Amino acid sequence: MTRILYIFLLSICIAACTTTPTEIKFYSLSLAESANVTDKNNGIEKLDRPILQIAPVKLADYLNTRNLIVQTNQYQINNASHHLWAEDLDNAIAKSLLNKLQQLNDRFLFVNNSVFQKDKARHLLQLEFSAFHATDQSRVISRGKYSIFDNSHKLILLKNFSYSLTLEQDGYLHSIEKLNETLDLLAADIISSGQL
Amino acid sequence: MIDKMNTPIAIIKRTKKVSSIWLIPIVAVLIGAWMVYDHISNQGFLITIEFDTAAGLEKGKTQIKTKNVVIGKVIDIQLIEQSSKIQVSARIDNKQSVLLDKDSHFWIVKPRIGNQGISGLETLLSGAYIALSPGKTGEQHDKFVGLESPPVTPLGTPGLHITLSNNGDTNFHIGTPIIYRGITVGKIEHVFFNTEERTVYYNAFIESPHDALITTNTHFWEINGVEVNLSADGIRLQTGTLETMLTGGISFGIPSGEVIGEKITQREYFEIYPYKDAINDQHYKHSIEYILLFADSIRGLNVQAPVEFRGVKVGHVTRTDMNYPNIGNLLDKNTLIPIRISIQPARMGLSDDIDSVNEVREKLDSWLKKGLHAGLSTGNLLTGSKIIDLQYSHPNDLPLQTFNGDRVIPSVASSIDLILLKANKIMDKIYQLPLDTLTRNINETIIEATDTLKTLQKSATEVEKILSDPESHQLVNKINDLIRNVNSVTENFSRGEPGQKALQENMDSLKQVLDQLQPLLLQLNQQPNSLIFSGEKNEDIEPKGVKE
Repeated sequence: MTRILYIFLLSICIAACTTTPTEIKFYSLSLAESANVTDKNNGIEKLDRPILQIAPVKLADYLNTRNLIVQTNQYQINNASHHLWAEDLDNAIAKSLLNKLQQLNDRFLFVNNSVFQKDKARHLLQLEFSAFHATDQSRVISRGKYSIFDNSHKLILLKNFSYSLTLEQDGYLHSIEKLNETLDLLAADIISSGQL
Repeated sequence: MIDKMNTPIAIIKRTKKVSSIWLIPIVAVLIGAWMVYDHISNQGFLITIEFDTAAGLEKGKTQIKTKNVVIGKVIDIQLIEQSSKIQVSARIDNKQSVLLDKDSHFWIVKPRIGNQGISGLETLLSGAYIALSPGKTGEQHDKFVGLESPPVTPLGTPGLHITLSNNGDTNFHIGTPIIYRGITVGKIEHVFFNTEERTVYYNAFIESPHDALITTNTHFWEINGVEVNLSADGIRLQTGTLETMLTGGISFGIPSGEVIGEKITQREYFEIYPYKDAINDQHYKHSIEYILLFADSIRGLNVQAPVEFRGVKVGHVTRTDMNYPNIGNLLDKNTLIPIRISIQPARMGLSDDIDSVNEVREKLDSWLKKGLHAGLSTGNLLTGSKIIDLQYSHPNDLPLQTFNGDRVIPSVASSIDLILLKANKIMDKIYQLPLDTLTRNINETIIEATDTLKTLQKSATEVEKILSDPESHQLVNKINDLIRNVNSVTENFSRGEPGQKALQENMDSLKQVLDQLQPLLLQLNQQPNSLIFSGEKNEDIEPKGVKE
């Protein structure tokens, strides 16, 4: 009886080895961004500029996951189990946006929250995303609001944004490219707000 | 026989009547006479000087000097009958007798310590001497009255002699400096108290060329070393030079608004005012007296307190007493307290003459009709001194009053007084609080707190016993070691030591593993047997592109 049991368990293990391993894909926003960055200052950071600090990005609760999200209808979302963000989405958005802003505006020195310089008055950019995902309706949605505070912590701009781009191709990779484009639009909007 | 012829004939010759031997006593007499003459002629010019005392003087020894040159010697000292003075007889060298003028001054030089400093120290060893200050009249004199102290100003010094009078309590001494803008330009030479006038007169000398500063409009005032004046105007602190701080002094100037005046060439009389501002207060020649009648307390209101209109001083209080005829009993509830004030038209922008006085008198009644009244205001919260504040309020229809012939300016209680009245009411309410009960409760609380403290003290004693136990010491040491270790770990952590970095890296790795496990867990959640059986995969819903 014992022998039969051993043979059964061994069979199960062998059968398990025959199962196809789960294929997981990771995506990063900042990865694509770093490839586009051209260093204007030859690696020398000009610190004699006013500083604009990007505060930690606030995400809607359902976005606080590594899983990529597809909105299937007006009330339903689907978390992809095999397509994940390579890093936390709030950090990825902040890094990507920082690079985009710095490329568009050389007057300010943009820093994220991890860069800490004492005794330096700075502007502050706060971002809040209520949507940052693809839909099964062939669109990506990026929606939320941003606010800018001056160096005396006085609110000088509060603005909503909402971008919806059409997906021309299937797949998560293309949706992420489109989401990245929404960040391009958002950065341009911030720069053109007249407060920077 | 005697030869007559050969007998010599005696020749009779007349012998000398006076022997030449007498020449000796004659010469001796002549020499003696010459010596007497020489002695008499060289013993000097005899003078007598009267002094109050002969302290330090010695017959035959004390010298008489002028400019430190010996010109004579004291030959006799005698008491003057029926007088408290002494008479010193002295011989002055004949050649120096020309110095003995009628106005020559003699004084005894001896060690002195006074408000003018220390002098005469050289006489400690050499002994006192009599100093002579030569006169100028050219009229020779042989009887003099000595000075008690050296003359402040040497005779013949160019300048101006003036006389100052003082009715105040300050007493100035000989030598007190007269100061103009910090520079000593003169000194008091002589002090004289006129008992009939009850006034002290000071003869002062202003040295040339500063005597040109003394004019007909010059006013003198006393300056003290440190002057603190607490009045309705506030605290005023004024300090003088070191000399005036020690001895006081007198300053002078011309009141603001006055012309300089004509230069004084002969001795003039001036009054000494108690302080500088007093000359501005008192140089107005014309003023009008009014009466204020107050029903409230006038505590803090003193004579000389300012009378102001919109903050500008227009006069001052002259009387606060009750010495008026037919005033009634002060303790009577309806008795009003009279305050007499003096208003100077010159302070109101008018000229200081009788026309201005009449103009103010004529207009005052109309001002009173328009609501002009007086009130007591607090001039200084620190000292509580009061001032009279003239102000306008509602037009007054009441008939105008007079008090003992003077016009009465209506008075009202000041706002501060009203506040004080309310404060008094509040204080009354505080007095009505049940303080006894509160105090009793507080006492009980304190007693309970004392018991609690005693208990706490016992506990502290027990804790102390525990702490004094060697085992406790070991425990404490172990706790200290533990704290040190924790501190060390914390410091390492804060410094980013390799261990901390490794910990962080491990945490990151664990997070990555968990992230990678998440799909597996999701898959297991959806298909628990998927680890063993390869069934159909649950494909993710992927975004779709637009169909072309």
